Amino acid sequence: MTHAFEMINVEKSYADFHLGPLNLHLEPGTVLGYIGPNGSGKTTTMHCLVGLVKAEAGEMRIHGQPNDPNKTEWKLNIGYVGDQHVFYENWSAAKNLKFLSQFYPDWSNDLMLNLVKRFKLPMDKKAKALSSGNRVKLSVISALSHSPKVLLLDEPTAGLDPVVRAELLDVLFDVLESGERAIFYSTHILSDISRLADELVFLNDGQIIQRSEKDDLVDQWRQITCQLANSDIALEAAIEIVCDGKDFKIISSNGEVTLKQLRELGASKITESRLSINEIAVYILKQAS
Amino acid sequence: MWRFVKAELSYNRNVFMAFCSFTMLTFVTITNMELSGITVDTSVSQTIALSIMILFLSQRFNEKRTRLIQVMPFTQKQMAVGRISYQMLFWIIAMLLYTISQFPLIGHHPILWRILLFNFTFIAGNAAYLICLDIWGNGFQLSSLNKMLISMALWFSIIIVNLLYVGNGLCLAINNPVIRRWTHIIYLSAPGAIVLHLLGIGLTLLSMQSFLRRHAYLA
Repeated sequence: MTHAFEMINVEKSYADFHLGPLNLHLEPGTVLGYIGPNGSGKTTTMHCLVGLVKAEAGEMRIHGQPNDPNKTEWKLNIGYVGDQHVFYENWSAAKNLKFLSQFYPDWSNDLMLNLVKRFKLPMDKKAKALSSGNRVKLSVISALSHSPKVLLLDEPTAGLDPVVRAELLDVLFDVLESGERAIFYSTHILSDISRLADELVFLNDGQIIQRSEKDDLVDQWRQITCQLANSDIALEAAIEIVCDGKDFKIISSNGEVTLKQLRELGASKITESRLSINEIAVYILKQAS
Repeated sequence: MWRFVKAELSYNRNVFMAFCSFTMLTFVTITNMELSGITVDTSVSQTIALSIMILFLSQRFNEKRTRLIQVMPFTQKQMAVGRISYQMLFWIIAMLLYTISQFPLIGHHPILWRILLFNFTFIAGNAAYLICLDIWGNGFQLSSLNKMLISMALWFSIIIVNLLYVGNGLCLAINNPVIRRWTHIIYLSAPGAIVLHLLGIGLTLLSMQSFLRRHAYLA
C-alpha cells in the first residue's frame, strides 16, 4: 500500500540542533499526532516534508512520489498549514484564494465557499487586516480547497481562543470523515489532538522516542494506588513511584503487568485509574528528557 | 510560472506605476538639463531608479512570499526564473524609458554605450540584491561572519564599479590623458561595455544558482 507520506532516515542539522535520523510514515485516512515540546524538531520535520528546508540526508515521499524540488506533482497532493500564515497581504482573502485556485487542477470552489461559510471568514477584508484566528482559517481553507491527499498541520491552533479552536477542529473532524485523507498534526496542545489522532508520535530533542496507537496508550497507562509493607520495590513498567509510609502511588505504562507484580508482592487496597492523554504525554516526554 | 509573474506584477501595480512615472520624470529632466548646456551625469538618475526598485521589491521579502510560493506547485527552477523575470521587467521598462529619454541627445554623446552601462547597473544591482537575500534569508549554512564578508565583497564590487561609472563624467573632465583613455576604454567603448554587461549577466546566473542552492526558503 502507498503511504500518505514516508520519511526514511531523514536528517537535518543546525548549529545547535540535529533532527533525526527520522523514520516516519502515515497511512491514508489516518491522523498522526506529532507531539513534542518547543524546539524538539516538529516544525523542522514539516519544513523538510514540504520542501521549505532541504534535508541533508534521507528520502521523503508523498503518496509514493519523491519530494523532488524539480517536480510539482507531489505538491498537488499536499495541503499545508504552516507555523506562519503567509499571503499577499494587500489582497483580500477572496483574491488570495482566487490566486491560489488557478494553480490546483482539483480546486473546488464549492468546497471553498462551504468552508468560508462555515468559518464565517470576511472575504472582502485584506489579508493584513485579518485577525490571527481568521488568518488561520484562511490558511486552512487554502490548504483544504484543492482536496489534498495529505494534510500537514503545524500547530494550527497555537494562539487561538477556545471558540476558534473548536471551530477549526470540527472542520478537521468532518474532513476526516471523507475517508482517504491523511492528517499529520504537529502540536504541543494535547487536548486538540486527543480527539482526532489515531496514532501519536513523541519527539524530543530531534529524536522520535515513541510511536503508539492513541487507544493503546489510554488502555495501558494506569495510575495505581496501593499499600505495601516493603517500601523498597522495583516494578516493571513503573514510570513513577511515590511512597508515603505504606501508601504507594504508581504511574505505570503497562497497568496489567504492574498490577500482576503488585499482587505477587502482596499489595493491598489496590485502586487503579486511567490517565488522560495529556498526562501520559507529559510522563513520556519527562521520561525522555 | 508566468501566472506567478503576472500575479506579482498585478500585486505591485501601483508601485510599478509610481516607479515608471518617477523614472521617466527624472530621465526627462536630466536630458533637458543636458540639452540646456548644464552638465549632469545621467548615471545619478539611474542609480536612484535602481535604489527605488530595490526598495519597492524588498516588500516581497518582508512579506515572506517565497514561503507561500515554495509550497505551491512550482519547481524550484520555475521559481528562480520567475523571481528574476519579475525583476527584469522593471529593468526592461526602465531601459525603454531611458532609451526614449535619450533620443534628443543623439549626436551629442556615445549614446549606445551609456544605455548599455545603465543596463549593467540594473542587472548587477538586481542580482547582487537577490544573492544577498539568499545569503541572509537563512539560505546557506554560513557563519554570520562569512555572510557579512560575502555580502560586503559583493556590494563593494558593485558600488565601486558604479562609483567609477557615476564619476566617469568627472574622469573625462580631468585633463589627464591616462585617466581619459581608461575611462573611454572601460565605460565608453564597446569592449568595456560588453565586459561589464557580461559581468551583470554572470551575476544574474549566479543569483539563480544561489536560489537553487539555498538550504531554506523561509524568508
